[in-house]
Amino acid sequence: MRTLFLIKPGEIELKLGNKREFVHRLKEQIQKRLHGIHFDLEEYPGRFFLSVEAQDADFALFILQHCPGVNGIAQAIKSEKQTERILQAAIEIASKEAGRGARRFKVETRRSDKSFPLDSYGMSAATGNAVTQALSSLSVDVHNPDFVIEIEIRERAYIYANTSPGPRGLPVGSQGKGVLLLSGGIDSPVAGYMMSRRGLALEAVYFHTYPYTSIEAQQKVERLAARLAAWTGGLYLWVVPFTEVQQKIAKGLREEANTLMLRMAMMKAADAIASRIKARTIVTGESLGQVASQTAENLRLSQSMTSLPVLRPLIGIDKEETIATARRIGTYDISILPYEDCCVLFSPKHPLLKPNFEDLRAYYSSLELESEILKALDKAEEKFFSFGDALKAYGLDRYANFWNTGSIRE
Amino acid sequence: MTHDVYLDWAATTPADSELMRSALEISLASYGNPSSSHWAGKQASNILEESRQRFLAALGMNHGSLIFTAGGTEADHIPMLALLKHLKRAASQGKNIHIIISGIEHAAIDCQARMLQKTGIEVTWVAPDTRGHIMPEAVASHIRKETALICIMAVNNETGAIQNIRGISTLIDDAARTLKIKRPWFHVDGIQMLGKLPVAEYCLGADSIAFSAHKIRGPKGTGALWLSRPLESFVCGGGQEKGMRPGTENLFGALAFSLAGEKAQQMLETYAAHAQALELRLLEGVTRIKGAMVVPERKPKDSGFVPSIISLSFPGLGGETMVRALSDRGIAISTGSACSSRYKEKERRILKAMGVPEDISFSAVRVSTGALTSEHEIDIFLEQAEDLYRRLKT
Repeated sequence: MRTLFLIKPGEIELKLGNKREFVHRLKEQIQKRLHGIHFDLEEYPGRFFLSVEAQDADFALFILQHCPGVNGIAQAIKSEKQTERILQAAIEIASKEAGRGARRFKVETRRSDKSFPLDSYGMSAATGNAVTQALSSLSVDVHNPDFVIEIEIRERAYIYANTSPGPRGLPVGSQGKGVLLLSGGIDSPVAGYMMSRRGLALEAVYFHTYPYTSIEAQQKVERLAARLAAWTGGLYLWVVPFTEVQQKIAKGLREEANTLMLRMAMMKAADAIASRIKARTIVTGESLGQVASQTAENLRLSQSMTSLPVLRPLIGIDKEETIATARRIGTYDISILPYEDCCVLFSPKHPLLKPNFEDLRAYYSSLELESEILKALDKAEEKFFSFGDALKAYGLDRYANFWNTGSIRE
Repeated sequence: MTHDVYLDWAATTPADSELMRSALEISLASYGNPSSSHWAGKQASNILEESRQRFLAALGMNHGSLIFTAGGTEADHIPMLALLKHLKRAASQGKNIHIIISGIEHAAIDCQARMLQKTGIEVTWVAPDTRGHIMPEAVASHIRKETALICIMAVNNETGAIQNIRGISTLIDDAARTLKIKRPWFHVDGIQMLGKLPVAEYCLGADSIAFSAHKIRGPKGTGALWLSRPLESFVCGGGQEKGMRPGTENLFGALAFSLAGEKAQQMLETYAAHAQALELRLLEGVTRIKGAMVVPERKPKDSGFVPSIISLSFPGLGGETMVRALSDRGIAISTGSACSSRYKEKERRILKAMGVPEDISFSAVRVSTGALTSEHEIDIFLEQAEDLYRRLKT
């Protein structure tokens, strides 16, 4: 038995000149993630059709629900373009829905094959009739249906109900690569998720300040990385030992500037990593005014450490909304585990809210952190979180072994 | 790991393997259910009763009864939860139930009191003085007509402060007489006192006292509750342990606990002298580490503290960081209660209650010693702590 999924790509359909490239990216992303099971992926204008063994259907659905660029997914029946066959399939689908307690339905038909004898309206009407005759518990209600039977008449006919939403957005990699500053907090995993939906391929960086922060704090970030890997289709995490940088900053004379200096040093390190991996942007979870280091003046200072655009998808997002997203993508429960990150321990009692830009740039230079940052980068450990790790993180262990091997960087 | 130093005896102790083995062998041979009426049950129940008498004798208690529990926390909870059965009647009479606990109780009491609060029971926390002692007058001043229970620990698990249980008991008596009420039940968490001080003498006037086996080289998962008179327990079941702690008895645990208790009692003075020698070495050593301090300040052989539990602070270096860095060098200490480390209290509740400034409490660690601790271990700790403090202080 095989299961067929109809996949609706979203935004890429609106692209004009380089649409081919986006479509190709999406196809490649789906193929890459399905690695390890038998599948057929067919591409037609405006649709992909994925066929897998029925036993792998849950897994395929998980993949599609986490693959940016996918707008909607539905389990579909493929049929010959014959009215009787189509009606039969519609009744089959409707009877399943009725079994789940549905009472009202409507039918929507899209007919791109204009040679088909019935037009869209006629096909919908015929289906409505056939279904209500076959299943007396169901009635048509175009305004308030419990489910919608959708019929697409194209190369073949496809009949389905209950399209489940995909992540939408653009396929990963279509917008190049970015470096994500990943802490153990709530915000940065959400920022990573948001940018991966905008087509960025990501590599994450975590600054580890052992023994000021614990091994558990690092493990927490690794767990977050594993979950993010579901959206990004695998994720590299750079663990950068930043203790010596932090200690040198702490030896400086201006305690009130400690957090700012640390963030500037982190941005410097992220910039160096970006150039090593040919990333075009740096992504952070900063939100304007959320904490002292995230005022416009302070963002200007950290921004000044790199010439790359620093993307801050949460800059105007309210914390409650960020938390809601974090819950939805499954990072919240990990983020709230009580292992302090370095910023918490290191923060001055009275941080600078409106620093003098030139003055603090000069102070940063006077700290002479370059050699410590370089040393930290040399000692950085690169950990890869495969799509299989993501599957494990979400409890789909059955499929996780397919991804035991590391990935080769694009 | 370069060293093998264990200075976290207040968290738990290495079990006495000789006693544990002998308790295990006896309990393996006597496998019956102590509640069964056949020969196998009787054999087990005889051992259980012998263990009970042995433990009572070790405590020096010549009245009251003892029930075995599945640990110190459970022993603390039995008198607390017993209040729940009065809720309905109190509500129908339009009365509240009120309890008093100290601000320095272990999470077993503190957290459970917060849970009782959710049922409508009122809780008053009595603040300690700056040395971590609860003043009997302060406890008495909070007693009112509705007060049904008072919980004060005998020895604090973070600072080692010894509480004036007898003095508190006397003032509870006085307050009850003045208010013309039934004396509130006085529960004492004796977990850190057992094996360090003569319990019967120090806890005179308590209505119940909780103990834990693993703090005195007994097995984990075993505790006991001493009661001056029976209590109607909220937790019901098969009627074991006089109906106060249902569930088939842990014969191995009870026997092992009683043997460990007996040994601790026999060795009380020897261990105390040993702990004082270690305390002296530690306190002197700390004065040589620039910036380090003892929290609260205390002298060697200070009568207000047990010598085996000492809080230190290394300002400018987080307590968690110090614990982690020492652990990497093979030295085990803690920031406070191991239970709270898991529970992850955001703040240092006990030190905060004492009014210790945040930068000092944030940097506090606890060193606790025991029967097997050597002076050499103290020296290694001092040497390594000093080195790490110099390196990691910010």
